[in-house]
Amino acid sequence: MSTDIKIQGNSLFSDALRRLKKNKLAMAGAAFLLVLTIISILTPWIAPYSYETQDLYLGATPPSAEHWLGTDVLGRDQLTRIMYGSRISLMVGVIATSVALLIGVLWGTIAGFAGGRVDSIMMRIVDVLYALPFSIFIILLTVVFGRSMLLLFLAIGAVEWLTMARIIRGQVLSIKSQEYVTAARAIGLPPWRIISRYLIPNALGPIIVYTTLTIPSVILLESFLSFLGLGIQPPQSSWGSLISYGVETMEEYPWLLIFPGLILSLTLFSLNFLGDGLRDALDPKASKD
Amino acid sequence: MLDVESLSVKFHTRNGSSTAVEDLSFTIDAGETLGIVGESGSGKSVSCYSMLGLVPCPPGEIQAKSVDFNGKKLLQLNNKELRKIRGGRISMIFQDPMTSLNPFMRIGEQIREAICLHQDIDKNQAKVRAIAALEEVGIKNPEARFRDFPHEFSGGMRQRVMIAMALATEPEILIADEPTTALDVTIQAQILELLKQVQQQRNLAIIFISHDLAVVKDVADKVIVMEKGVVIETGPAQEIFSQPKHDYTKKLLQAIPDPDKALKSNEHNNSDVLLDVAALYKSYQRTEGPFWRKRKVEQEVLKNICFNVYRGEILGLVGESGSGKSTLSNIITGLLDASSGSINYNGRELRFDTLAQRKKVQLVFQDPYASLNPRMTIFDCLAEPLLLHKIVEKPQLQEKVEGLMVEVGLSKEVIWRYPHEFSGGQRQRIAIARALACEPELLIADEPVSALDVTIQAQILRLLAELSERKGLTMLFISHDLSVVHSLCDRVIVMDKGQIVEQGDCDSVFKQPQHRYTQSLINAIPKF
Repeated sequence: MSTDIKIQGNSLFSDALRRLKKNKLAMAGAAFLLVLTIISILTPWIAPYSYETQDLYLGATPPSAEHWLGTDVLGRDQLTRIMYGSRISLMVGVIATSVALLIGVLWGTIAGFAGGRVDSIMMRIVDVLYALPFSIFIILLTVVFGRSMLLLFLAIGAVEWLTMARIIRGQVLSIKSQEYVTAARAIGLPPWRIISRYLIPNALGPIIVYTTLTIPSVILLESFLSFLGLGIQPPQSSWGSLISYGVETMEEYPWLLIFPGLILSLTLFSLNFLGDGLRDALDPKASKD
Repeated sequence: MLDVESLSVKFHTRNGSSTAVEDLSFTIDAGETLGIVGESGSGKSVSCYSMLGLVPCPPGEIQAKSVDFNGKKLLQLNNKELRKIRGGRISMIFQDPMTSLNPFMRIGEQIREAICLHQDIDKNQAKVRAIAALEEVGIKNPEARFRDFPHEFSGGMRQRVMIAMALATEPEILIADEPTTALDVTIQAQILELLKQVQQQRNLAIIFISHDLAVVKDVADKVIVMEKGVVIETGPAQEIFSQPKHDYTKKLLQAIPDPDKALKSNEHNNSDVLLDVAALYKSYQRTEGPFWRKRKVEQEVLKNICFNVYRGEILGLVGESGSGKSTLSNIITGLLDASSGSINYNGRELRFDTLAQRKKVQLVFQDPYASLNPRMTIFDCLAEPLLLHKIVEKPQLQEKVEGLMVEVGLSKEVIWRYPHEFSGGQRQRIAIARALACEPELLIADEPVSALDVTIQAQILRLLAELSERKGLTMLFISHDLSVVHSLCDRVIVMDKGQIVEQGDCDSVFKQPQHRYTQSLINAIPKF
């Protein structure tokens, strides 16, 4: 403790990283996600087949030496399609969740911190958006702006931030009444520093947990949007569309459901482990070292 | 009646096992009161809970030669048998009357439920009993109040309801775990009186757990002093308090604020007015009634508050909960706006528009566990005001932070730790250091010692007295504890229901209180 004082404890995050490294499960989750990300970035160069070339004579075949994860009804290589799908799904998951996170956290903290009339106006806006039926909202967006990937991210982000904002606002309301926030105000700290140094760090636990829950729901939402015609179109693939296709042919060709489902579940597990690990690591109380 | 012989409680956790209670023995007979005294973490509550099977095992492990209650071996009973005794023949009341009643149940139902669980009588008879119990604890109009919910009672009244509930099952032993700690001093006196009364009427044995020696001295026949799970001293109350044998007991007794031994050495006689509060009013508007018949109700929390704070003095502000003392301190620190009136600081209107104005008035809070940001190291926490007010440059920052730590009596090596690694008293010192970091002229301490153990309390009070002397700091010391105020302050203001009822020199107010309310407050202090 005494010799390396200067290095230690400079920020919450260097401390957190040190603690996170001790959590094996979280590190395994992080490693899996990292590998998955690298593979999906490199997919165009390392994919064994083309994702759109059909081989109707081949049809649906179970896993074999040529096609490790089998082929679909149109004879397309399942591994390749999953690899291409993970590009879309991970991108949707990360970007849409970031959008939701950014808007939701800011909106929630500002509403909770400001309180009073500002709070009720901001939260009524959230209520109104909540009440809007999602599919109608999406269809409207498509009609007005046409189809594009960007719109897909925006649409998902625009819906997911509502819950985030509500959760964060509740957290902030309770943190705001803590004496350490009053102390910060008495010192004369400007509002934005109170928000960034006191409110958001102390709301991190729920933020992280909710984020790890949002990413999978966003990935599944994408397949629903693709079904509506927004987002990706065949022959492009995503995990969501592969799974929904796999469900239809579950009885004859189970591998078409099993493999995309497996990869999605593994991703979700990794996210949850990493999220739990992050939450513990960011809480100075969680472990004494 | 209850005979406990060498009771030990251990807790086995991942970080090894710890002993919560070691080798505790006592007996208690009908009509007796046994006081268990100790600071937080001394094992006084755990020992009673363990006898009744309220300590989860594992991680707990309970051992004893024997725990004998009227011939029954308590530790050998199974859960079902224990449940019959617990709440029936041995009842408990708890510290916080605000949380120990179910808010969704009418109080009458809660009492009736307790009776029906333990006695074989029908609902109507149980209701009659419950009403009788409510009457016994001094609740007026018990038939009507039977149907009220807990939130319709004040704190003191709820504690009476808890006592009624505990007594309704006709117990032989009542375990009272800090029953008056959360209550105001006048209410505390009433509850203690009530406990003595029912004890006489029913020949009840009471185990009275408390950290407050004065209260225990008031009620107990026998006393056990505990520290860190070990019994330090035991004997008749008179003997322990008049001739303590053990050092720890002596230390505890010395820590009780003694008005004759003032903490400040020099008499204060400065007539330089630092803060001048004149005709201050504060009211809240509430809307009442359904939305079609809304009316605005004005609730006055502060009425015509006028007082001065002189430079360099410690002014005590005394009042019970709801007297408006916290509202007043929030207005002076600019966290709330007054409805009308003026506050002049150093001859000019007090405003908090600039940082320079802001830093002059600083706060120390009641709860040291809530007043430090758990996600900031002590260094960050103290560096923040220093950098914000540009008191030091970056290169001298660490030196200054370490200086502050030394000033409040802490080691400078610990600045990289997080708040949770410190005890309550240490945290309160850090909170004081944070307030001092701004180099304030006026320090407002809002109940800074009421969450602390008595020995720690004495240390913090001494620190505050020292700081005010050494730095010429002016202090507004808010407290509900009159003896603390008496030992620390130069002058005192007494508030009741939003009004100042008395103010003046500390000694003269305490020796010759003029107002009826002040008199009742002073009479309610447990005499030592």
